[in-house]
Amino acid sequence: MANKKSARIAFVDLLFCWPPQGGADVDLYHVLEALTGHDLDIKLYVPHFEGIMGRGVVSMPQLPFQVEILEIPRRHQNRSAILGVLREAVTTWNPEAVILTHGYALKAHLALALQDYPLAGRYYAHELFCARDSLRFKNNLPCPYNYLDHADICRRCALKTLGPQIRTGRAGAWTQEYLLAEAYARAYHSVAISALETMKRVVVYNHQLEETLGKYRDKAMVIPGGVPTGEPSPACQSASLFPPNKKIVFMSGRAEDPAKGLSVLIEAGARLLRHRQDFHIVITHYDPMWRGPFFSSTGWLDHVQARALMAHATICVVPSLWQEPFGLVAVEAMMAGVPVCASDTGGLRDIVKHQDTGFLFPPGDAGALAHALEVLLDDDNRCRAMGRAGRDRACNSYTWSMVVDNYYLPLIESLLS
Amino acid sequence: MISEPNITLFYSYGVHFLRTARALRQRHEAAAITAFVPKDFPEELLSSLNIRCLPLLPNPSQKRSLKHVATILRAIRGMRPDVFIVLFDSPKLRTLAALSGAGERLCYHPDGRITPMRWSFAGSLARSFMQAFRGRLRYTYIWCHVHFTRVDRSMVQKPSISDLDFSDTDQDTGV
Repeated sequence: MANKKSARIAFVDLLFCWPPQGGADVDLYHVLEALTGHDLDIKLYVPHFEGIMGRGVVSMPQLPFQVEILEIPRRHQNRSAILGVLREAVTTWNPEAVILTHGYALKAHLALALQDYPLAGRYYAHELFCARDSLRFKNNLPCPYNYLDHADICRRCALKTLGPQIRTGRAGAWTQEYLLAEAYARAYHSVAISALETMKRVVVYNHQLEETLGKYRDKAMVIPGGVPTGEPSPACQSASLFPPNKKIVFMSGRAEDPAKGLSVLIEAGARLLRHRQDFHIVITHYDPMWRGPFFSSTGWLDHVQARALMAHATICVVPSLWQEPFGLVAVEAMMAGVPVCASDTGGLRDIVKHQDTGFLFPPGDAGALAHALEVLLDDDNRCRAMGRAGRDRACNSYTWSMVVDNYYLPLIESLLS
Repeated sequence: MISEPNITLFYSYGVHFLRTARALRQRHEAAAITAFVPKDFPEELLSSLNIRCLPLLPNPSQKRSLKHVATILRAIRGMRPDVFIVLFDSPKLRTLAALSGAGERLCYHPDGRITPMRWSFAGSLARSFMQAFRGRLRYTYIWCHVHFTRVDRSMVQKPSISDLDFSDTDQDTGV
């Protein structure tokens, strides 16, 4: 590791914001913070598109690592100019390796623009395999197609989904990059494949995604996310909404997204309600009026508040229907000492140890979820034991220092070798 | 001494209502903030932020009538707000904002943008029309690309760095 001491590593992120706008920002922040502590020379490059929020908006006075915000004026918001600005900035600093973090369709072009450097690409969800969004979730099921192998099907699907945004001229971040990168064009497929071939390492969150990489699997590295150590803040106003004397079954995250499987939890709750009333389901659905006889919503909570609320839960449920890339909520629950009932899919499969830190059930199977909840609601001792086992697992495998030491340092070493 | 503004926040069924309320309270610690919310809205979520709730709006599932609109408008104007905030940029909410009598009218978008609602109703319609016209042209172009061309996997060819163009094309991407 002698050469690692003085190595310059550039990170390029097309979407980073701080305060964070999503899990990828939080992930990158903690990784860079921990890497900086290892005496590496780390620098993050982020473009800020004039007039567009959600990209390069860094309003904290000081971050614990170097950041260069690259201003992209409105009239220069075209692909070649953006890539030119990023390439020039990175080349000027002359790093020994480059890691591309969050971004969508433009990321493939960026990889080619930075092909002179040893390169790794970090993918946070299914953005590499899906042309229309990063979920790869269609008709309430994980989509069987992937853009690398079924490009024409995916191009049509993407246009159908993104069409309304394109027609009305109100493009979100994904559609912005779809248009800038001309991801609809047949030539883009060649760009995406070439980008994969250019990268020395492709970093994904779980083994299912690694499998999907097909012939590029040998480049894949599975790196999980992490959670900060320490107790979450105990103060949370929404805890006052919890009904007293009931066991709390908690679902955190973007519950309003159909891919998150809230309907499965409600169906399981309805089954349980037929013979017991000692539980209440609390959901972080953004609409606080979304409530019923055995469930209620907290309204929108920020990440810190959601974590604080987790400590009041008896059981945490992650009933995702899509292939959840990581499942941060499950790790946060484990860190809070709460047993987890999660869908047996994606990253959740790697995180939750069945019958040890919680239960895994087939995605969409409300009966199996109801059964798992019943077991935990009936047996307080087992609930506590699973919570303790979960906390041990989270502390031993998913703290940021562990993730950086066990995965990111070897990744950097492999790029430098 | 600059006095804190009298702010009125108008509820819409959107993911960012509570987030906006919290952001407003953080930004204007001492301001008088009033939120127009539906009848069934749990007021404790806003009272904990020292935001006054006026539950005058129909619930999202309820039908709205002109009578509702008149009552709401009278209540808003009675508040004499300095700042009127809505959560979406639509012709209806633009009209409501214009009639609110507030000196400053803002839209807090779901993605965190804050834009002033300076345009007139007619201007807003004209802009929407132009956007839609350009959008449809672009959509048609892309539709042709997607439906009349096929990806040929044998064509994959990695470009060298000298093949790539980093010059500013100065074209309007419309993004």
